[in-house]
Amino acid sequence: MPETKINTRSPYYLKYTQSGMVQTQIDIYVYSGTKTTDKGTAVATLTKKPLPGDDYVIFEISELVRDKLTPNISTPLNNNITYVKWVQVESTITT
Amino acid sequence: MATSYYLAFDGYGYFQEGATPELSRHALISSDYVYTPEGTSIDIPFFTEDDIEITYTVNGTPTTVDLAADFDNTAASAVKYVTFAPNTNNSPYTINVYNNGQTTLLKGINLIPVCEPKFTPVKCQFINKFGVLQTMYFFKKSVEGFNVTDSVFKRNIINSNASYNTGDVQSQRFDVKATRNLTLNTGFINEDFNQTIEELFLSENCWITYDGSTIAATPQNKDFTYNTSLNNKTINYTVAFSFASDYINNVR
Repeated sequence: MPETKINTRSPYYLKYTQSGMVQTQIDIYVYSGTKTTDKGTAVATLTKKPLPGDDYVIFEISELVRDKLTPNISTPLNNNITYVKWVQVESTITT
Repeated sequence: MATSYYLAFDGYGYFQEGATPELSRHALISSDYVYTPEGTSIDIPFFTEDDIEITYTVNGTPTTVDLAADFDNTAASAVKYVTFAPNTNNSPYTINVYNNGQTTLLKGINLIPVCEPKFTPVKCQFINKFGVLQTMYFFKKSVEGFNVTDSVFKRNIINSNASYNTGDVQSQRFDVKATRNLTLNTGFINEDFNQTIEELFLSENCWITYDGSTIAATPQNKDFTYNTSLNNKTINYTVAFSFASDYINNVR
């Protein structure tokens, strides 16, 4: 399934909504390699609680992801694309 | 627990493109024009996760590049640099980017070989708006120089004979550093190429191939005025670069 592109020099927001939400935790993985098998260890774990009366939280993850992108000019260009990476976000909503 | 996947690029959107812009999912350059020195191939980046097809005719031979097979679920394979060579007679041609099945034309890119018999074209590569390397050339006059910074301290040059040699240095220079700079001109370009210059100015990563080596450089211009064929008739951009390393090797 085609995945969404994140352009990390601009903010990227993730919104989680759940009735009765107490808190939401996300684990962010940034990695090269294969989408479903190479995630490695999480680069960040974020936890947020909704404001009173709200049932949603919003995370901004661009800067955390961008830290892991390393532009380079090595040739051949197609063998040195280290500046495009997978991002896997695992979210756990506690109600 | 829910899991979601994304592909991260070092790109950006403009304010008017709204929050969390995804941008192009086919050709990863904005301009519809690329200029290359005669007889020189140029690499153009494409997004491969979506199934796109590229068609062009070079030297009378129609060619179709189907990028569907290039994506193998690795992050690096989400981008493919396709190399385009000019016609042997150096006439321009159009690179058409279609969806799978070629029912919708997504983008047309004009490849223009440029004859430049007087100056040596300078290759510039930068991370563009889409977060990938884009190649462009400066075809016209280039001016090279360097800036020097230094410090001076006063030495005590008196010797044990209560005298000194007139050849001794009283004002000793130290900490001499130099930064090379390069001013380049694009030569006459299409108005549509403004987008490329704009993205060069907004890039955080740029490299110049000069004197046989590829060196990181920083565009120094802080003001950008859009040139148009209506206002300016012919369009040439002058860009000042500063090499992003000291002239004297002091890497420790």
